[in-house]
Amino acid sequence: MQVTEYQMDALKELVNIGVGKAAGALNQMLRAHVSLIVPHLQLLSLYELEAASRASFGVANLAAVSLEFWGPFSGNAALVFPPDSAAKLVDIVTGEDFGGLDWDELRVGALTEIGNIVLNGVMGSIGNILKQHIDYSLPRYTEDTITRLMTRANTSAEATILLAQTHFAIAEYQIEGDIVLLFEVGAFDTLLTAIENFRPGQ
Amino acid sequence: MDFAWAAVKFEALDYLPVGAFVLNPGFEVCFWNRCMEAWTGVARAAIIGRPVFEVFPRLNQPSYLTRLRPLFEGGPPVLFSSQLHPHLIPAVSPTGASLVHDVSVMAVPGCDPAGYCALFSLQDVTGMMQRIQDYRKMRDQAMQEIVERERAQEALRQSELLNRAIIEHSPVGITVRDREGRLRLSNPAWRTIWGATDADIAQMERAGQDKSVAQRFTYLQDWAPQVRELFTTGGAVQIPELEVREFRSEAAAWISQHVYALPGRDGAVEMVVTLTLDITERKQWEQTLLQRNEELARINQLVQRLSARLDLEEIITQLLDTVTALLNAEAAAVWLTNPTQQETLVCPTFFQRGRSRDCEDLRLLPGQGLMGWVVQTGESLNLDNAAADPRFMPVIATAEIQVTTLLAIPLRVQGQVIGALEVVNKLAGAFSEADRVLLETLAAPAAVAVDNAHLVERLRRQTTELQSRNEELDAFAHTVAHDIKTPLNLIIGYAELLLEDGYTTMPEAQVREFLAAIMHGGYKVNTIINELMLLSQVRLKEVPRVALEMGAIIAEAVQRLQPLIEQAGAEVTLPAAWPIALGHAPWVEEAWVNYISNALKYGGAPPRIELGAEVAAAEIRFWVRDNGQGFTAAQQAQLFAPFAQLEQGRGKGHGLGLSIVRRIAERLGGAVGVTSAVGQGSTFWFTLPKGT
Repeated sequence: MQVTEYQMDALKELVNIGVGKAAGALNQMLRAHVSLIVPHLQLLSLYELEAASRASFGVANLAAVSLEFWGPFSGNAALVFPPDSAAKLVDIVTGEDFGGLDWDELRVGALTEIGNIVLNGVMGSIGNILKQHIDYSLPRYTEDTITRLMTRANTSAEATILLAQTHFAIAEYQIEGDIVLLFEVGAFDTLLTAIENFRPGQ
Repeated sequence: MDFAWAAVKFEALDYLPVGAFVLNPGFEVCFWNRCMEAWTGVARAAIIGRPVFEVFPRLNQPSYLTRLRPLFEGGPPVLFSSQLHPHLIPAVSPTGASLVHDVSVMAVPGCDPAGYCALFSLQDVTGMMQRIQDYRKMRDQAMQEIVERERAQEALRQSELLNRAIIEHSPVGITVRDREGRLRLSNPAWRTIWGATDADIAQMERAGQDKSVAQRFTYLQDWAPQVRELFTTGGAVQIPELEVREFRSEAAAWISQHVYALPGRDGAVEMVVTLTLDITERKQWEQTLLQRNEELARINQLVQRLSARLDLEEIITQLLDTVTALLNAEAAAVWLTNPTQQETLVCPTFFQRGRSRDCEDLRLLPGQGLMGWVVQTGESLNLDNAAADPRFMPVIATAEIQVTTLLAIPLRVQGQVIGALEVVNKLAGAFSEADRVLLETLAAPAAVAVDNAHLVERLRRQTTELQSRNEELDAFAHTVAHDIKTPLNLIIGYAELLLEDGYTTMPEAQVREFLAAIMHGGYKVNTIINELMLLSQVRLKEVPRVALEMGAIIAEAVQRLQPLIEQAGAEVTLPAAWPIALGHAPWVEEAWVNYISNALKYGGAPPRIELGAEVAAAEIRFWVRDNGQGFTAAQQAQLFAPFAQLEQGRGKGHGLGLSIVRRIAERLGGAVGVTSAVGQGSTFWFTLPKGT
C-alpha cells in the first residue's frame, strides 16, 4: 500500500481531530483536563503488527475496546490499553467514590466507556469526511493478545492496519501514559480517496 | 408535534424485555416503550413529545450531551456503563428495588423529519450484577477454601513430618502391626532395643502367613494370651516389666510394653501399636539400690553395735567383721596411733576369713608402710597389687596372707587422723570406688567408737589413779598424824613431868635427860616435815635430767647416814665404779638415803648392806641389798603402796620413805621394785634412764 506524504499527514490530522473531540468528552466526564495527542501514525500489515506488538507488550493479555463498522468501507477499530495505562485511567474515571462495587466490573465499565468515547471521536471525524452512512456494532470489551484483538473472522492477511500511538496526560493528577488506536480497514482505498477530497479547514 | 410515526416505526420495541425510548435531535421523547413505563412509572402519554430533561433532568449535563449529539448525525453508538452511571434513568422493579441498567444509545436513520434519532435501550443488569456479585462471593469463598485447604494440607504435611520426626527420634520403641501381625512400621529405638537388623524386620514384615501369632509372642510369656486376644477383640494391654532376650545377642534385657489396638472404619482391629521401653538400666539401678539398702542396713547395725560398746577390742572386731563381709574381702585390720607414743601405729588385732586374730600389738614407725603413709597423708589407697608398691612393708604374717588388692582409708575424728583401716584381697576382682565410699561410711562411726573407747579407757585410768591418790591421801594423813603424834606425845609427856615434879627440885641429870628427850622428839617432827616438803617438791617441781656422778651422790648419802651406820655397826659394800644415768642429783641422793636407812633399820643384826647397779637396754637398775628377814609376796605387793607402814614388829620408821623413792624414780622416768623372800633378805631397786 503506497500512501503519499500528504495522505499520511491528512490521515494524521483526521485522527487528531477525532481524538481531540474525544478529549473534550473525557474532560466533561472526568471534570479534569485530559490531553490526547497522536504523535505519529503507522500503516502495518497484520504480520508487522504482530512483530511490533510482541516487542512492546510480549504475549500478555491486553484490555481493549473494539468497534466494528460497515458501510462504504468496513473494518474494526480498537483501543488497546497497556496494563499500566489501564490502571491509571480506571483510577481517574472511578475517582474515590467507587464504594462497594466490584472492582473488576468497574474496571470493565470504565475502560469500555473510555474506549467508546475515544473510538467515537475518531470514527466520528472519519464519518464526517465520508459523508456517507456507516453502520456500527456496539462497542465490545475484550481481553486478549493484540493480534487476536485485531483479527476478525474475515480479516485477510493483506489487511492494512493503521496504528496510532496515542499519548494521554492529565495535568491535575500528574498522570500520563499511552494507549494504542488501531484500525483494520478492509477497503483502505475508499478511505484514502475520501482523504484526497478532504481539505482540513474547509 | 405528532409522533404517530414513531409509534408505528418502533412498535416492535414494546414487545422486548428491555427498556427502550427514542429521542429526536431536540431531545424530545418520540417513543417510550411499555417496559420503560413499567420501570420508571412514567406513562407514555405523559412523556411523549416532551423534552426528556423535563422528566429526567440528570441527562441534561454537558458530559452526556457532548457524547449524545453526534448520534443525531449518524455517529457511532454510545455506551453508559451501569457501573459508572447506575441511575442515569431512575427505575425501580415491581418489588420496589432500585434497578441498575447498562444503557446503549444508537443512531437510527430514517426518522421524521428525515434524519437520525437516538434509540436508548436499557438493559436491566440488576440480576446479573447480583449474580456477578454472588459469583464473586462464591469465587472468593472458593478461593478462600482453596487457600484454607492448602493451609490445612500444609499443616497436615507438617504434622506428618512432625509425627515422623517424633517417631524416628523417640526413645520409646514404636511398632505398628496389621491385624495379621505383619510389621508395618518400626522406629530406630525399637530396632535398638531388640538389636534387630534389616533382615529381621523384612522377616517380620512378611510374617503372619507362615507363622502363627502364638509363636511370635512367646517372648511375652504369661502376657502372650492377652496380647493375642487384643489382635481380634481390640483394647489395650499394659505390661509393666518383662525380662527378655535380644534377637541377635541373646543378651538379657528388661522391657516395659504398652500394646493397644486401633480400630478401623468397620470397628474391627486394623492396627496394633506397641510401645516398648527399655528398662534394663532402671532394673539395674533397682538392684543396685537393693544392694545399697542391704549395705545401709548392715552399716546401721554396725553403728548400733558400736555405739553400744565401749571396749576397744570388741569395737574393732565388730568393725572388721562387717567390713570383710560387706566388701567381700579376705582380711581387714585396724591401725591406731599409739596414745602414749603419738606417732607410732599399733595394730591391736586383725580379721581374716571371719575370725579375729590377736596380732600382739604390731607396730609401725611414723610413715612406715602403706598404713603409715595413709595416716601421715590422710589420703586413701586403692591398689590392685599392694605387694608391688614400694611403700609396702609386710608386717602381718605374710605366710598367711598374700596381699594383692588393698583398700585403705584414714580413720578420722573431728578432722584428726587417729589411725587407718585396711581391707585386703577382694574375693572377686578389685576394690571399686563404691567400695571406698562404703568403707568410709563404715569407718566414720567406727573411728568415733574407737575414740570413745580410748576416752573411756583414759577415764577409767584416771578414775583408778584418782582413787589410789585418794587412798594415798587418807593413808598419808593417817600416817603423818600418827608419826607426828608419837614424838609430840613424848615431848608433851617430858614437859609435863618437868612441870609437875618441879624441875627445880629434880636432879640436873634427870632434867637434862628429859630436855634431851624433848629435843629428840622435836627433831623427829622436824624430819617428818622436811620429808613432807620433799615429797610435795617431788610431786610438783619440774627438774632437768642430767648425767649423774653416782659415786659422789652415794658418798654424800653415806656421809649423812654415818651416825646410824656406826650405831648399828653396819657394813656397807660399794662397787668400784658406777654407770652413768640421767636424773636430778638431790632427788637421787634422797632415794639412796631412804633405801640405805631402811636397810639399816630393817636389815640383819648387824646389817650387811650391798649397793650395786645393772645396765639394761635403755635404763640402769640401781639396788640396795640387805640381810634382813625378807618379805612375803603379799608384803612385797604392799611395800610401795603409799604410806603403808608394815607391821614388822620392829616398828621403826614412818613409812614415807618408799613412797618418796617411788615418786622420785617415776618423776625421773624410771620405776621401783623389790625382790625378796622370807629369810633371804631383800633387794630394793630403782631404775633411771641410761646416760650417754
